[in-house]
Amino acid sequence: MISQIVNGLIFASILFLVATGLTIIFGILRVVNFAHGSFYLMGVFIAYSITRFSSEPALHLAAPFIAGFVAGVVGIAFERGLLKNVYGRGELFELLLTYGMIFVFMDIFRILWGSMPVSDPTITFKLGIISLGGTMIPLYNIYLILIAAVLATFLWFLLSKTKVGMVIRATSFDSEVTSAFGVNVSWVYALTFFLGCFLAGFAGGLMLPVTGAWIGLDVDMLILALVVLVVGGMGSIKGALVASILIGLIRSFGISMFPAIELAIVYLIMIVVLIVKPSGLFGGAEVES
Amino acid sequence: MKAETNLVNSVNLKTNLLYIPLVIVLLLIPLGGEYITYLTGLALLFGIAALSLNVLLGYTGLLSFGHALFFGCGAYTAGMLVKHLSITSIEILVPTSIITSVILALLVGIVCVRHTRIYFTMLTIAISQLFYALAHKLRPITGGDDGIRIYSTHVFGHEVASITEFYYYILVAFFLCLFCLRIILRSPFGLTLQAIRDSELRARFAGISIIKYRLAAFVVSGLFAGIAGSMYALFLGQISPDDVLSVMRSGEFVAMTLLGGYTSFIGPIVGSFVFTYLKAVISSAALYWYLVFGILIVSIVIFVPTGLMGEIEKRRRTG
Amino acid sequence: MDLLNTEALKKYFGEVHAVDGVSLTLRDAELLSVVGPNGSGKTTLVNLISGALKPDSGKVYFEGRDITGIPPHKRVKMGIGRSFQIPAIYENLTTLDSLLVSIFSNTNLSHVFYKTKDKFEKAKEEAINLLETLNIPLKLVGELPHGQRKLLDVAMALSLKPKLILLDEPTAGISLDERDEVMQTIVGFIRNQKIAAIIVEHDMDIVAEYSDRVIVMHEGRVLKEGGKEILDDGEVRRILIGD
Ligand SMILES: Nc1ncnc2c1ncn2[C@@H]1O[C@H](COP(=O)(O)OP(=O)(O)O)[C@@H](O)[C@H]1O
Ligand SMILES: [Mg+2]
Repeated sequence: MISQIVNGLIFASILFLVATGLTIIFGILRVVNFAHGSFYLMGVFIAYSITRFSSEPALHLAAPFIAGFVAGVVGIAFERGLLKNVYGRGELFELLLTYGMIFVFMDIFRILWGSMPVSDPTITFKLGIISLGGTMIPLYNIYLILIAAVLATFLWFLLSKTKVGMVIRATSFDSEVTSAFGVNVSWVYALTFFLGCFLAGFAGGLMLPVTGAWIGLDVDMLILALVVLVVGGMGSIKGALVASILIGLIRSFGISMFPAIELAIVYLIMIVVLIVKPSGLFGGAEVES
Repeated sequence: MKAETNLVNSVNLKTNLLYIPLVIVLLLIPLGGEYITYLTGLALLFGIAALSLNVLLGYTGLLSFGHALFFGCGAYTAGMLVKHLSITSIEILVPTSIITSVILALLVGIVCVRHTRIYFTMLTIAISQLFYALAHKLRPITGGDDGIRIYSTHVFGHEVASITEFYYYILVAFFLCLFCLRIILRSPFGLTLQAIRDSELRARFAGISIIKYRLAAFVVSGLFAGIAGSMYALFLGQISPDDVLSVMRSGEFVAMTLLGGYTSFIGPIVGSFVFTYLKAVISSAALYWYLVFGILIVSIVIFVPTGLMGEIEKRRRTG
Repeated sequence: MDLLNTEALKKYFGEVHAVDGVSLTLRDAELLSVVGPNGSGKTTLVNLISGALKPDSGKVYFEGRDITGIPPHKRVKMGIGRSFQIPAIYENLTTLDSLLVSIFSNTNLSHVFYKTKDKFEKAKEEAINLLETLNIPLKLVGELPHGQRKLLDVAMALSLKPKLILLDEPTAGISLDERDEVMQTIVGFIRNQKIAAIIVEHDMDIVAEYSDRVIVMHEGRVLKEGGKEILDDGEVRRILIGD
């Protein structure tokens, strides 16, 4: 029971980080970044390469941050170099462009890291195991959940209490008005993409010791992040938090209780939410009439 | 006074005559050997599927990322009839697939067409993923991830002996579908869909029941995808969830449509041919197909958003 | 019997009383102008009558029948057409096809198969006639200049052969010297076909020239109602000029 909760929360934490990146990007650019799972996968692979250098725990703990940073920079390059070209042509093309990038990344990963799954649980062994109500849990797993919680708090603070956050929120509300106030909307977009992709890459880095990575995980992760995005409400971070925990626990308990259809249940939830309340649990007013 | 009306009554004969050489080439394809025949058969089937997707994308303005659901519905209907009931006659399998696809499209459509834009897209992903997950897990019925094998098929009691023979059945089905879709899309109904696509508001105040038309488009789209899927299952002799029901397959249909041009009636077919041959060539040369595929999509989106046919038609218009 | 009646129509958007108890009547073939400053609720009133919005309270009667709960596309079939302040047109169709969509819809011909070829030819002829009457060229809609876009929007409503047409600022954005010609064309057609009309209009010269009756709206209410002479009323002028 406890181990299921912890597993569910790990999964929820990761989903939350990935989906929050997706939701922030959607909230501000109105683009659903289909390549978001690829940034997650990129994070795992980069963390893997970093941890090849030594088995020093500090390096292993730092790896997700570096991986997130690299993913963020690649995200900026993608937004400035490619995505920018199709703004204003309608969401169809923005969506398809990010869709195309899934495949570009997929083969680039294959070229750089090969086709075999990678993982490295060194840090899990180094940190050891603690007992939680009689259940043995790797300390790393607790760390993972805590760091996601810290990041969630930080994000909330950044977006709701700081000037940067105010500018970002203003841009999502009305980019034309915001630019009229002298804010460089291009930079807000780039920054947003950095932040969104950082979160995905960081989450990937965190998962290197837990599940590792394989080609195909990008699409799986994308789809689950889309579920969270939709269920929580597109553009809502609070919604992403609640939906991630919900989906994380459902999956974790579902895998042990009804292993055959746990994913089907997740999709069913997404469908029901889309039908009943397309704006999601925490989305604003109904977006379409 | 070009492009006075898009309706079928005004289509001139000359453009139709242009297709004759193409038809002849398609008839002669089996001379190129079994592999070419096989590839062309695939391209034709994917062409039907992409064409049917474009009923939604190009004509109704709805992007479905779950179109494999109906392709897969056709394929699995055929596959399950073979597996469980040992029915192997194409003349029973394909019509049954049409019926199941229409029913499924009706049910799914009722849910989906109330939404547009990204919400529609998300719903199509979610629903197709649901069926994908079920096909994976309901092993006794669907064969799970191994899917279903089909060892032989019959046409009116006669066993289909070769790829070439089947190719001609596909060709017949292809032209039938092409003909029907052309009539449908060039009719007042098709025109009404385009009107809804361009301005839902105006269409509503032209007295049109938007939901009803979208639903009809959705069903038409599902029907033809079902035909393609059903024939695909029989042609290949093997289906699996990843092959016929996955979001990757849905994405390929979108990519073909985009590549050939969603603004043109035959664009999706051009797209499916280019896509299928390119994929075969690149994969057989052990090159990175996904990389090429991804770059292709990205370049098209950025440089030729209306696709190959869209570009050609534009050039033709402007001289 | 009156063609149209509204009974104490109300529509609030939060604190904004967009339409606040409007009752009006319209006779067959009557031309009523609605004037008022920006934000006085004119477009909202048109939306309530056409069914684009549901009122918070109040009723709409058309030919004596309560149509308050009837969806817009069915009101269209009953004979209420409308145009939009920002033209709602089909960018990728031709002007001819745009009208055909309305005509097919109105004659229940929007099927896959043409009922008969001569029905189609008749629809086409009708559409071409209307385009010629209103001086709209046969072209791709996306290539039309602004004035003709507005006109096409009106034409799509007219091709439905409505009994009542609602025109929301048909001359907005059209240059001063073209306005009169456009209005002459539209009103000429409306008069000729004996269609009743509610026209929202900013240009007082046009209102004075073309309406049978005028209502002045202010903050969601009908401030004054009467013949053209009310436009010279002191209070009305103050409100309109304060715009
Ligand atoms: N959909 C809406 N949501 C919120 N407020 C609205 C909406 N439509 C109109 N309003 C408000 O209602 C008032 C009347 O608007 P409108 O009918 O468009 O005025 P007019 O057409 O006379 O300029 C305005 O204050 C406007 O801001
Ligand atoms: Mg207005």
